[in-house]
Amino acid sequence: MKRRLYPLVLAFLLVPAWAQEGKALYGQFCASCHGAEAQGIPGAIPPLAGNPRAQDETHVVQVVRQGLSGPLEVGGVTYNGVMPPLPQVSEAEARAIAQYLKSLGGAPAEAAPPAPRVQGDAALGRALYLGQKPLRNGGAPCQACHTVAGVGFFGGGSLGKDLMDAAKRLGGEAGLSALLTNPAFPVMREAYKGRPLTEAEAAALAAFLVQVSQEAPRPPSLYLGRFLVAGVFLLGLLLVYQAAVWQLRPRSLAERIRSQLRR
Amino acid sequence: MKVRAHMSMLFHLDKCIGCHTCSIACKNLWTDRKGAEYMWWNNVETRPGAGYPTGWEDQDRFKGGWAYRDGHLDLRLHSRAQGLFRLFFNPALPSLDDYYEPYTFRYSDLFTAPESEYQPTAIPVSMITGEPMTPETGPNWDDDLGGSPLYAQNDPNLKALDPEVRAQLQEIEGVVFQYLPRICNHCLNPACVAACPSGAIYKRAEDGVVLVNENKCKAWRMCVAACPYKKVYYNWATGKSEKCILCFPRLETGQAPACAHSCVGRIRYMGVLLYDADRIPEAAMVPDEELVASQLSLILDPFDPEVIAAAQAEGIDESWIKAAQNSPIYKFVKVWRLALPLHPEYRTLAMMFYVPPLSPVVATVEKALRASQGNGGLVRLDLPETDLDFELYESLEKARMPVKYLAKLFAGGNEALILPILKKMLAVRILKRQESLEGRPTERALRVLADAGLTLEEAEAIYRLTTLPTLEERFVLPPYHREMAAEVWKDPLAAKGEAGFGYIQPPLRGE
Repeated sequence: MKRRLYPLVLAFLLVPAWAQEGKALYGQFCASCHGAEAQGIPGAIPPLAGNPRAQDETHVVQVVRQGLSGPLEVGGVTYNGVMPPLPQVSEAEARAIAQYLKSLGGAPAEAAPPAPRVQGDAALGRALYLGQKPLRNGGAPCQACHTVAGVGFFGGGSLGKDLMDAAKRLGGEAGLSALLTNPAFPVMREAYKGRPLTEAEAAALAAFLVQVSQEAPRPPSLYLGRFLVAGVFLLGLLLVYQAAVWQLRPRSLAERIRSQLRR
Repeated sequence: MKVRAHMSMLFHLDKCIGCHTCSIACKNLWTDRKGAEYMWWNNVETRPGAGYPTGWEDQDRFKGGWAYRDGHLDLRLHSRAQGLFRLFFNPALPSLDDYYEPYTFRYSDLFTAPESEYQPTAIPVSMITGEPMTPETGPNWDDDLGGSPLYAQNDPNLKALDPEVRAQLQEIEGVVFQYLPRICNHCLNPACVAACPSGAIYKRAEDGVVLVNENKCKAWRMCVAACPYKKVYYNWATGKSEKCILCFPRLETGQAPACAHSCVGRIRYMGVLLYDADRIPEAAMVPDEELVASQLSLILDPFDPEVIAAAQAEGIDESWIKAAQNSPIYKFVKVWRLALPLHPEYRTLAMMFYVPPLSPVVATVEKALRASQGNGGLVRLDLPETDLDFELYESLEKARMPVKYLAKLFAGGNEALILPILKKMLAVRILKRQESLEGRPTERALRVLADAGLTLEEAEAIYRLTTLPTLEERFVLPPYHREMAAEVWKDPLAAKGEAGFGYIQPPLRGE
């Protein structure tokens, strides 16, 4: 009899602990986008408090670990964003987060007044994006991996996503600046590990990205074409240089004598 | 003092007739293989001429040998850092154009051609591609000043001469040439060994032969560029470097090298020299004009009891010391001081020696005499040959082959080293000619002999070893006792009835 009670007692002891842990984990992994109170960002990022889907533990675990995309309706508002998978969150941790969400209850939370945001400076954001001004903690400039329309003749890197529509996808200025201080994407998370952006920098970059989203989009083939043309041009220069060097090479005596005899 | 033995060869250029028998003997024996068609481990050049490979003496282009700077010797080719930088592109490396594209003739055409009005011909084909080609050059394109005068005009050694003398060399009456047979010089301070990044080249301690270990060679070809005599060759088929091996398999069985053995003019001598290996660095680091003297000071007197004791302490066999005492090379080089190394200014301390040639006839003297007799043009000189000799002796510096040119070849430009040699040789010639004409040495001949610094006995000995030597006197070859060496690693009785101790193991490319 006693033996059967052990798991029960254990569960009883663990549930509050899980909820505690779940809150911390939520703060670490989710709060940057979904808000400290799980209130979300209207129109960009769905709230989790008062969201019936967030009550389903298996669904939450699956979304956390595998991500979610496509149209989604919560509380009469349609969201159409992308939530990246967070494989770095273990299943047990995801379960703890789900427990925490459950503890928030299905009713819409009293949305806490949004924290006063630092007003971003788009010009500073541009400089930070291009790397003209270094990030304070030594992170790599965004252009190393990302491209946005109209910045740079050859565009930026092609490793990350085109950030043209980032502002639309990731919750406008507020969402972006929250995301940038605590990136949810695994690669970006690794890249900025130990070198986080400061709040001011995140705000500036967010402002810059919002500004950029007004620009007319440019197809990636434009940059590819420019690269090709420049490459062919440089190759031509190199060949011309080589031809000149080859013509000017010192002739050996054997060559000189033979060319004189051929005449 | 660290005494070592060296097998050296001596070329008596006064006797060379430029028949190329040595080259052919060597080619047939060693380089008649795929990838080695263009190689001539032994070649005979006409001088003045550009040589083979074309212009090999131009070290501004080929960067061979050593440069003596600030009290130390550096390879002219490159420093270590430069060597690393030019690892895959070495501009100093001679190309196949600098040698020649080897060719043969399609002899089968002579037999398979259809019947025709004309004789069939064997067309030249490249030995590399097999395609028909027009030979434009060869290893000896300027033989006997043939081919084109451009070759002789571009001889780098002629730069030392006055423009007037150079112009004279091109006149019909002033034309002169000599032959220069060349093999690997098996140097005491070899630049090829120093340049090899794989440590594949080494100088044998027992007889000084410089060899390439074909198993270690990694085809960097730095030896090819570093050798100032361009006597290391790259075999494009095996991907290994190759060079003259001084016919060591023949030496080890008591035979002279093939080039020396086949020599028609009997110009080649082979013998042992004892040298002091400890003093090689200091001998290579002296000013240009002292190089010959410092090199000759390395060669030790095999009769000196101290040297003999030191040689025995180094484990040199009694028979080798004896061979060193009988060595014709020692006599020519050290006793009579008649022979010099080729281009000592390369500082590799070449150990093959040359007796410089006397010019055949005295063009300038002849001309001056003719003028004094009121004759001009191509009138033959009616001066007795005996008097001609004396005229030449008095004015050697006006000899047909300019002494300056010989000095450039054999003494780094130091004429003071060439003149006494030519005087000695001419004095011996005058003496013997007078003896055969008058039946006894004349007063005049003896005066000349004394002036050249020779005694009658010495003159007789020079004469005998120059003109009448037997095979055993020309080639004093010590026994190698390879059987003893072989016993160390192989039981001869175990191999009884088999073909031999050795085995053929062709090196693999890239091994």
